[in-house]
Amino acid sequence: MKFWGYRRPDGRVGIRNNVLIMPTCVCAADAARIASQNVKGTVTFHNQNGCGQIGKDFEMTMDIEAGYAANPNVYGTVLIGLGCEEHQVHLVEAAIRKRTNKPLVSFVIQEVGGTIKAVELATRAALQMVREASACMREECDVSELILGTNCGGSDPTSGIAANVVMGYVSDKLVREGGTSILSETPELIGAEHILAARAVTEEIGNRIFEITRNFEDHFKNVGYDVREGNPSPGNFEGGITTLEEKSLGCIKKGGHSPIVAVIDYAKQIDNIHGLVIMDTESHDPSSVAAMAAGGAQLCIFSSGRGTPSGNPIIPVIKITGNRNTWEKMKDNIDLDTSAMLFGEKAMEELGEELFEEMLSVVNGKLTKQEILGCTEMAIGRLCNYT
Amino acid sequence: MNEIKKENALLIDAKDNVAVALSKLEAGDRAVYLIPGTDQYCVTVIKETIPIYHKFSIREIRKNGEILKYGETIGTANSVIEEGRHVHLHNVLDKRGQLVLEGRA
Repeated sequence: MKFWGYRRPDGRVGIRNNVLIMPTCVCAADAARIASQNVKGTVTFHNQNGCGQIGKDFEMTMDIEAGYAANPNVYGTVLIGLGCEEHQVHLVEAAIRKRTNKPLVSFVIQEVGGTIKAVELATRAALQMVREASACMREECDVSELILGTNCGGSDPTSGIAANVVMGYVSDKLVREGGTSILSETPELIGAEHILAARAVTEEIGNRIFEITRNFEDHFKNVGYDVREGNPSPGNFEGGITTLEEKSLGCIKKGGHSPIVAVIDYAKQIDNIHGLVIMDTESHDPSSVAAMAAGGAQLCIFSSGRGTPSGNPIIPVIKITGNRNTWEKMKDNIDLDTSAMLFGEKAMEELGEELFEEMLSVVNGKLTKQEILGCTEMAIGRLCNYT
Repeated sequence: MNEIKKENALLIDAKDNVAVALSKLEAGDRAVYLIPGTDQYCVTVIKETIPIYHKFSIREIRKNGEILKYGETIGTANSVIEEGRHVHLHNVLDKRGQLVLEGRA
């Protein structure tokens, strides 16, 4: 099975062709935003992090930054740093260079002499990069080169019974075609670990699944809280989900029935791994989707029973819902309604084929509603407070 | 009449003791659902309002008894739950954390 993609110099294949203007730290975010407004064909994001971070917390932000630049949907990257931050531009450059040889230029606000000069230099560099990017042609590629991120947010009981199962069908089909699918959102594996561990291809991977959920729970216990105090959310409760375990059992349907071949840390590169993998992310959607994008996912399928505009700056996010009322109310934000299977109107497999076709269309260039509306908010996971 | 269209509830797994309302159900309504893996339908008489997609008990669940959905335990009953009752935050304790869920919504 084939699709049309942009082959990058590092060998990976993108399905979008944007230039990324990336602030390495929060103090460069405004310069990046202004420069991006100047140049059509660029994307950016508000990086709240990049300074006052240490250890694993530092690493998580660094992996998002490096992973975004390396994501094959990005032609090349213009970095803007401040100068005194923890995530020094040269460190970010080195992290990016470990992942990709794509075009990369950098500017440091304190070196070039302020916001206006940094914006000017970044604007001109981005203009040149967009000219080059626009000359790239799509070529025929095999679907085994696709990495699909799966996510659910604003869940209700229809997510587990009428949306995630359809996504699971697509995930399984992509895996059968040799591609890669990512099951994410670690807290929403809690209570369902035993089911996933039984599908792990090795005992070690099975143990890792228990380990990441335990670590996630301990992370909150260490500061005196229980993850359940915030998950399920008020909207989940109102929709009819009662416990985290119930939510998790619906959540894991996104991964279909495939064996689990790896557990990947937050935002780490997924290289030469084919099959279903788990990425250790939060259930905070903008951060979970960001981590999968940094891992190399070219797109995401995202279910929501309650409805959400959530997107991402560098990968298209296909929205589905199994809740017909939500579809009627929020179809401006949702690409596909999968509720027909609840009312005996369509079989799950039929909807799965429809979603797979929709996915291939998006891969080939069809825009998602989230892309058209410019819903690109994202977040970066944290381990601890800023120093 | 299409057999399927008379369903107004979904039993996800034959082991489950709660089913999902596929429309809002009121006291006295008959909830009809298919037993998974069979062509047999089952009926539960509903005892109170069940909002759409919320759960109701299809048999009596004893105090501290497991609530089963997806064929798995999702929590325990904090009191006896009669057949046909709304199963949600007011009568369920979550499985591992044992947080009191009542009043959380």
